[in-house]
This record gives sequence, structure tokens and C-alpha cells, in this order.
Amino acid sequence: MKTPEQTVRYYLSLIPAQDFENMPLHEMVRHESPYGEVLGRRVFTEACRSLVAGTREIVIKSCIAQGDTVAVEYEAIKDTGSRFELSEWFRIVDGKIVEIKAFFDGSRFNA
Amino acid sequence: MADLNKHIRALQDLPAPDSIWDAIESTLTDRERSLALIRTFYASLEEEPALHQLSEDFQYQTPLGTYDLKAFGHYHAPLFRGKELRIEQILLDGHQAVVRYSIPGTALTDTNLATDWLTLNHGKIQHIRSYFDAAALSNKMIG
Repeated sequence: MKTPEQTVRYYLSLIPAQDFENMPLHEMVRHESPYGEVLGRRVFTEACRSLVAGTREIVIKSCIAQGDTVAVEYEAIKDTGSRFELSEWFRIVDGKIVEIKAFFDGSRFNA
Repeated sequence: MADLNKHIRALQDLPAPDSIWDAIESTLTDRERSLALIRTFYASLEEEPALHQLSEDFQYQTPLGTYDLKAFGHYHAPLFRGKELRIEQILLDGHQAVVRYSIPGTALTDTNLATDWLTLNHGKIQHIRSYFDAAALSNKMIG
């Protein structure tokens, strides 16, 4: 089984391909962001699909893991070349992401 | 009387309070020292003790702009005056830390939480990159 940090890095690596099928998400994953809260893998992936569309690359700037918690600071680079910085906190249980708390400036998301 | 003199001499031999504090401080691990630094900073953001935790070349990077030590002290720190900042979690790895916190009872309540990435250098906070929803904050302040 992957470590919590490896699980998160793997999850982020799947974003550019929008490979939601293989993302290590728990069925009851909870996601909090400035846009609100969503609960459940299906709802989360549907909500994310349009948001991550056109993401060419994810560049991890910092990552700290402790116990079942992983905090990551990364840049999402769009096909247009625009860069969007955000920070997320993950909680991992049995190799699956059960919680994501995302921090970013909503006004810059689609800039 | 001999016993009394013995006690007086023993008291005179005690280290000064500053030395006692230094002795306690010296027993802290680097990790404990860093956590104490971070907690002191966030516990007194609008006050002098917080500014003493920052290095001369301090930079505070936010969605609203980047501030140096002087600008932080003048413009940013006063925003926290009288607010009770609540640390939710701290993760620490060497000279880097990440802090998640909320500030109940302020315009930030709607965004609820912020995350700061800190770089520590020689017992001071050198750099903070802060992530929060500035859009929601602006709307709340204007509204």
C-alpha cells in the first residue's frame, strides 16, 4: 500500500489526464473549497471535471506529510499557459483519500 | 544559625531567572522550538511579539499582494487586532511548516480558513505564502 504522501502524489498526477476512474478516492470523500462542500466520489468527480479541464501539468512546490494527513502546495498549469496556485490538505485512510480541504483565491481560478 | 547561613548561600548560588529560562529553552528540540515560534506568532499577530518572530528580510505573500516586514506591521497585522485566531493544524518538516487556521468573527469567517506555508530560518519566520479566498473576503468587506 502507498504511503499517504505517495497516495496524494499519485492522485495529483492523474489530474492532467482527468483519470477520475483511477484516483484513490474513498466513496464518501468530502471536499471543501471556497466554492462549498461536496460529499461523495461521484458528486466530487462531476464537480471537478470542468474545473480541471485544460490542465496541462501539476507542479508540486511543497509537500509535508504527518500521520494520515498530507498538505500540498502546487501549481496547476493550464493549456493556455496560465498558472493557478493552490494549497490542499488531504486525509488518507487505508490508501484512499477521505477528505480534501482546498485553499485558493476563487477570483483567479479561471484567469 | 549555621543551617540558615547554609540556606542563604544555597539561594545566592541559584542562577538568575534569565539563566533559568535559557536553561529550559536549551532543552527544547529544534522541532519544539519551531512549533513554539509558530504558536507565538499566530497567538499575537497584531502585537509586538509576533513581529519579533519575523526576520529582517521577511516576506508575506498573499492573493492580495506581497508585503515586507514594515508593510506587514503597518497594514496587515492590525487587521487581526482583537480577533481570536484559531490554529486548526500545524505540520512541520525541518525549516518548512504549514499552518491551517480560522479567524472567527471576522470577514474571513465566510471563507472560514486560511493556510500559510512558512519558511523558518535561524529561529525566525522568513517567508509566509498565504492561501485564502480573497474574492470572498473582498465581497464581504464591500458588502
